[in-house]
Amino acid sequence: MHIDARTIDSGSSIEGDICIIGAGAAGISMALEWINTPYKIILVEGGGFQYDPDVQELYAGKTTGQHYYPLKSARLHYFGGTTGHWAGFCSTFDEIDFMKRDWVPHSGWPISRKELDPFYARAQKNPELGPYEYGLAYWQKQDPEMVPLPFDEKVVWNKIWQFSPPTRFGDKYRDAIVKAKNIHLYTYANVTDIKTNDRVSSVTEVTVKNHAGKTHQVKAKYFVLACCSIQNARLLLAANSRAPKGLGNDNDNVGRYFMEHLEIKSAELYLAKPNPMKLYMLNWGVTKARAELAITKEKQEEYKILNGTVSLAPSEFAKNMKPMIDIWKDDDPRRNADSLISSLQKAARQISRPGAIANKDFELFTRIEQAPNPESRVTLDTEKDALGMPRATLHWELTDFEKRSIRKIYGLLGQQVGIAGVGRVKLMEYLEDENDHSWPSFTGGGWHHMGTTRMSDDPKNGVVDADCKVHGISNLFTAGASNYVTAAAPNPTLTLIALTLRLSDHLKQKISGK
Amino acid sequence: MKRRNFILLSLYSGAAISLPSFGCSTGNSVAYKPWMQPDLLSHICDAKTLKEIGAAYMQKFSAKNNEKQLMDSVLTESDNKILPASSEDAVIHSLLEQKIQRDFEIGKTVVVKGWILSETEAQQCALFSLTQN
Repeated sequence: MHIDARTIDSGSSIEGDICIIGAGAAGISMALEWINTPYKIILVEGGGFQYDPDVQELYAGKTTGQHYYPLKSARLHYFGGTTGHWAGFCSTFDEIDFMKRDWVPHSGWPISRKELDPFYARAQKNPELGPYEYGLAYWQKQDPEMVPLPFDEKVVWNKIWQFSPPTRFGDKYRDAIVKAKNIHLYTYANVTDIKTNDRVSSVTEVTVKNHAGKTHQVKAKYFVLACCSIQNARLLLAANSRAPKGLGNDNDNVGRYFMEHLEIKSAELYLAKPNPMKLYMLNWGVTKARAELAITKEKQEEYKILNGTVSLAPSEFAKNMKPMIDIWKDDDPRRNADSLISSLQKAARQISRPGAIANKDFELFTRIEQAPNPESRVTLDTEKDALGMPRATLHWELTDFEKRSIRKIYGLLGQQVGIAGVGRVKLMEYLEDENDHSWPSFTGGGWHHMGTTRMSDDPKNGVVDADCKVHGISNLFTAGASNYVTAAAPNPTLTLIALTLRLSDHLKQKISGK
Repeated sequence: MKRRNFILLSLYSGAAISLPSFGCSTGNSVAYKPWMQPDLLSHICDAKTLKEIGAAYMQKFSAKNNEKQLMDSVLTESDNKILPASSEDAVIHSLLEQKIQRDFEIGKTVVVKGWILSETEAQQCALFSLTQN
């Protein structure tokens, strides 16, 4: 069922069993789980079914620290969320990503990879991925031409990625959501406040507003914030009428530990003999799976480095691609998408003629976790948006740990390339000097916002517990990558869907009293 | 004056590979020898790049910036004996191939102008650059 919140009488009181706030990959995945259950689900989405500049404007905010994309265009604010323009890269987090690593401060999830495994398997469906197979052997059986580089598997391994078509959740699941009798989707329903009981121990209702001047209240037994990392933190911090520091923020953790994936070109691989590297190549719309080079858990521990992967692209293509940070600089995500497509097309034209790719020279591109850093954070600005909400401000802060890790990853990779005798690796200039802690102008992120409501069994160290429940508040949960304790190397979508399915199962148990 | 010829080597990857040789015939402080040119790197880089790597290596590791030290280091065998520079090219090539492999295995690598190289091949580049002066 769909209701446009602009069309109902202002002051409406909406009631349900569960209120899901935000209809992106997490919110939609959760709502789908509840179709045809005896429970009334209220799904509130700030935007409509299409891009709306006024709604998108609500995401605008300042950034400080490491140069970043404009906040306004870094996420999409309508039904389907940022899946409206995502690229569809998916892979699982590694076992080590969930572990407490003594060389990575603030690492260690309260859940293990093993606990998430069954949910990963289920999560494959929504983004229309292939089988739950992330082992090299499986994909080699499908295509024997996917031959790995001859590296020591105790040092470098091949991490498999799968590719969503990419599924636009808004298009794909709109009908299922709208036709479901027990799912009540309210569009143009921006949550601007979360109200609690006097003791701030449970949420009583949330306030939703829109540009039509309508204000409504939503009451539910359980509330799930699924608005992405920046907006989840913003909402909790702004809900400060009874909790002056914001909800769930008694220990000043809300908004902190914001993480991105550093995505940055780092080196070139020169081969002595041509090799098409089919295992590692991405042919958009065709490739179902490919590998990226990753450093083993043992070597990460030995060298005390972060987890990251290295992707390969023919240099003839890559050298014609502008850095993303230079492409995605407009406040309007549509213009950025146009620039990106234009840049991709231009680069693709350079390699369109037969023989344009020599298969001897490959750009090596890093995708690496950002170390959890309490100073990398989302806070509230004094400036308010059109609906009266304080805007979010992002301070993105990197440390030398990330750079040292990247340098070591390529040191190990260069060594393996040398041992294998297949070629040589050449670092980009910014990685040459070990004493150079600066980041080059083309440093970018993957538009992957993580952290800000991190998970921990101890309220002093996190915002939510292992069930994604906000510490101290009995019926408020967060869904999405804001729960991440560490960022791992893979894009966050698959893992956030898995976590959301896990949360959904948990809520089903709670609500049914089982 | 530069002269380019191609010599056949059967030392690289166990296969016969034509190696571009960037040797100089006259007028250099150090006489060019084919083994001064790192095998695999010569398939990837042109002479100018090899020379630049060599020069950068000598600048970065100033303790090893003369012909004698470089030659001794490059030609030192695992038992610390120094192979005479007058040895047959094939013998020297065989030694260097093993040394380069070993360098990578034990992490005896250097970063020169961004290239992650075995120390031995970086020193070969240094020697090569001296032949190009």
